[in-house]
Amino acid sequence: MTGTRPDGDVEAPGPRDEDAPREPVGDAARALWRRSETKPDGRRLTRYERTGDSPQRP
Amino acid sequence: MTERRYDPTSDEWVTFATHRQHRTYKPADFCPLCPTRPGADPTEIPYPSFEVVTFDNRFPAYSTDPPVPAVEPSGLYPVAPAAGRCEVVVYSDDHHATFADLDRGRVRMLVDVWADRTEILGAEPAVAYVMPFENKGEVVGTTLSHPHGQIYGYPEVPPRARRELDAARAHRARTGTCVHCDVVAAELADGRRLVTSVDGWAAWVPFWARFPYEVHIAPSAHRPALPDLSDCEREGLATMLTRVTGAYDRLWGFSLPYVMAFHQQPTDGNPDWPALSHLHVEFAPPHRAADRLKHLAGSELAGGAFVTDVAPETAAAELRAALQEP
Repeated sequence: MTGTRPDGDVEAPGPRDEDAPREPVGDAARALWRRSETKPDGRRLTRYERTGDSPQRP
Repeated sequence: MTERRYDPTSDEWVTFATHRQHRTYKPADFCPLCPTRPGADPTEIPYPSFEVVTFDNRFPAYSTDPPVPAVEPSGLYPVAPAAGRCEVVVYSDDHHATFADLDRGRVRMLVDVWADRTEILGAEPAVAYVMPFENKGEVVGTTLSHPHGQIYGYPEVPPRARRELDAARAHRARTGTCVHCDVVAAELADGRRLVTSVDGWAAWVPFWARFPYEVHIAPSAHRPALPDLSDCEREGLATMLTRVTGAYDRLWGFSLPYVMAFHQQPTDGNPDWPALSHLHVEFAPPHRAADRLKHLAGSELAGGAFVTDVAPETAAAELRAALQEP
């Protein structure tokens, strides 16, 4: 699902059933992870996390 | 129209991205880089909170699947698709923060993110040079105030970086050494233009500063690119970035606009680059005084010859004084 503001400024994805898989960045000591996904319009989005406890989509 | 056109009079490519003319411009009541709050309009970032997020720019100058150029090339005027990558890096979910407001851990995280994106974008065949940068402030063209930067994956080494590499090649041929290694050592030894240093890093106002309060940050060891930094060196870079941006904001008591950019090794596989490339960060603030801007006018824009209004040694002394909290 694609959401578009009335002014057409932003196209953003709607909710999904599952979060993207988490991948480590560097070795474990760095404690950094990324989750990569593709927006409905084909653009890539990557969330980086130190905590590992990501809030889910609204 | 999105395409690259070659300028045979200067041996440079110029990118046309006419769709960017209509990109989001200072939206008054909605920030596309804020988190998507429950029940609110969706933003670019579909989470209610986040640490750091990168995503493909909705209005890219370069993309992985660029359109076919709209004009026919000729022998005099070569034309090429605008292949490459343009990403947005959102530093925080706090809309009102600036880079200088970020806690030390978040800045260290950004160093890791920039290094990771350098590896990911640099591995793409269409990308020859990865440059993370930040435009901060309306006077340098920022269209969204939420704290963020960008990463361009250029299809060729951009002109400024190419000239640096040419100069590094000439210096190495003449002296057998890396010009940036020599500059960092000279500034650490001299001290008059030094703003701050930590083990293995220096921040200084260049001897040749083109902007009055220009600052460069570089490691004293020869490191070609962000991914080459050890964890200890990444800590040092984060400390330097925090100190320099803090000094900028304390210099005149307002959040100083700047362009910040990383210069590093090209990713096109040329075996010469590791010896010639030395990672460094360049800050170019447009202010020459609290209430005056340095404009790029006749000499700078037309002649490419910069005339600078403040002595680098004076600017460095002012920035050193601004390092400390009042």
